[in-house]
Amino acid sequence: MTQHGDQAGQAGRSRRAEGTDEVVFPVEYGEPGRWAVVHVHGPLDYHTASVLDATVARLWDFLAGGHLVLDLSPMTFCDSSGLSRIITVFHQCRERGVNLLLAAPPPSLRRILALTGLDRVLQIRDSLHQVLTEVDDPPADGDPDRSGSPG
Amino acid sequence: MSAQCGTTRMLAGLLAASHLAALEQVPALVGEHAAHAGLGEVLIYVADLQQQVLRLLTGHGKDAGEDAGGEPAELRIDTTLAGRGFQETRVLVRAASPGRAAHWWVPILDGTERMGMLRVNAPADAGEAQVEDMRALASLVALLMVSKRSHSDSYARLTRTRPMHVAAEMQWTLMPPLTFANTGMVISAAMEPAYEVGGDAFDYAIAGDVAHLGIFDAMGHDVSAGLTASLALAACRNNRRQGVDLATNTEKIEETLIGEFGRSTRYVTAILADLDTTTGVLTWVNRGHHPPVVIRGGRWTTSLACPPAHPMGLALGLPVTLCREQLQPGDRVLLYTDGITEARSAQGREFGLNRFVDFIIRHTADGLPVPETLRRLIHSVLDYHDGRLQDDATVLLTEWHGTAHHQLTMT
Repeated sequence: MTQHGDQAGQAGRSRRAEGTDEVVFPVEYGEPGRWAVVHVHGPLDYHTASVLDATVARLWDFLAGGHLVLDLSPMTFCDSSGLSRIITVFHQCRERGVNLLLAAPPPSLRRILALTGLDRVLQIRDSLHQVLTEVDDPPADGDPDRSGSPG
Repeated sequence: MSAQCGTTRMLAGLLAASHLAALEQVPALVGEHAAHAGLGEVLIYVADLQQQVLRLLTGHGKDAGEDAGGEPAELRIDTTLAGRGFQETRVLVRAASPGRAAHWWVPILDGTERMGMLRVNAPADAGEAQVEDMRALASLVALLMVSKRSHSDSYARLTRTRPMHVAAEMQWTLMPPLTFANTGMVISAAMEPAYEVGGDAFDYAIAGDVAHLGIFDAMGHDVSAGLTASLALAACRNNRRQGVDLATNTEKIEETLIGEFGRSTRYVTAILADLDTTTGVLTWVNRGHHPPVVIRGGRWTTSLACPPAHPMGLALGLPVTLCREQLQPGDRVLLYTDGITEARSAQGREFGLNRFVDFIIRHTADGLPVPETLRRLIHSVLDYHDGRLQDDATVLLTEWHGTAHHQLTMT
């Protein structure tokens, strides 16, 4: 298990690279081929959705079929562009055999995910800690928390 | 010449003359032929897009509203007698000083869609036959305006109080009239911000005993959102007219969206529903949208539950579930977009679902016609948000009468 407390402390503001206006979503890495966490800080909207794209695009080789975790606890806002980008990442993961997990989406996003039926497709966990426990020690027979078959 | 003959001459003469007339000629033709039925001066006032004012149609100038000739060019709907007649869909008369004609205000209705008010000069004690003439004239004026306005920029200018955005220009050309009624039901809609609406759309259509209903909310509020919503609406109608069922229709709309915009790039949430107006059975599908609310017996009963499939365009392959509800006579079904409930006050408080449903219950309990209730609702939502909405807000209300035939007509 790696440290992630320092980034989590940045909740509420976009992280910007030193000396620039560029928004950066910090990444922390597990062992190669196991997992990586993208900390989505601040708003995920039309302006920052491309940052998520670019960040995720750099991880495919490293992940090589492991788990991609989007840590949404420091996210302050998610508009329709942000939501569509999360689904784009979901499709990309599926095509690459990567397992996407969403950690701690704020209540407003959770409501939207339930309303739109997306919580029946996406794997959502209450906390990053829960996700990291899971990906470090994967259950033998798949995903125990995955909700039942869509009805 | 008998009164009946005068009525016939007025209506037939106006009809014959209308074939070679544009909207601009309608006021003069109406004045000329109204005289055949013994009616005095006739003025046509049309409501603006947001139904806040009535504007005089003179036929002159670029907006066909110049040269009012001393008459009021604009009347506020909330504060004038003409406006009250419009709100309540009633004929009202303002008595004049002795020896002068009174002003009769008569609603101009296309079906039950309120287009404006006709002002007719006639004696304050005009008999029933003459009032019937006024109503007949107002009905014909409505039909003439509907047939002329689709090719009239003047009419578009006259009914706008400020410039319109491109997306809204596109959306409004696709929307059906705001109100429809027959003996079995009333359908009424409202959509704001009228001049900037982007991603919202509503639809309804009648086919035999079935009323097809739909509400759409495309992501974003820009021109792309307008294009997405327009494409979804056009695809929906196209599929429906080929007899495609509700669930398959949403799947085909999704195919169309993905074909045009790519996977997960643009998406639309929607409710599509069919109401069997003979049995009151409502069937519907939910594509990631707020569930319908049913008001029964004058109180909020419930949001109708139905497992949502993903919004159209996200290509997630969730099964689309067809749900079914038996309506009771008098039930009102509300389809709405989140702009209605999530409009925020300056203090950041949401308008909210409770306030929305309470508003509808309270105003219809006061005996207001459904279209007027929605007009007041949408103005209330706008006021709540200091007149400027950040998001599109749309409501489509359907009232099923069942066997009780309450007609929405003039009293």
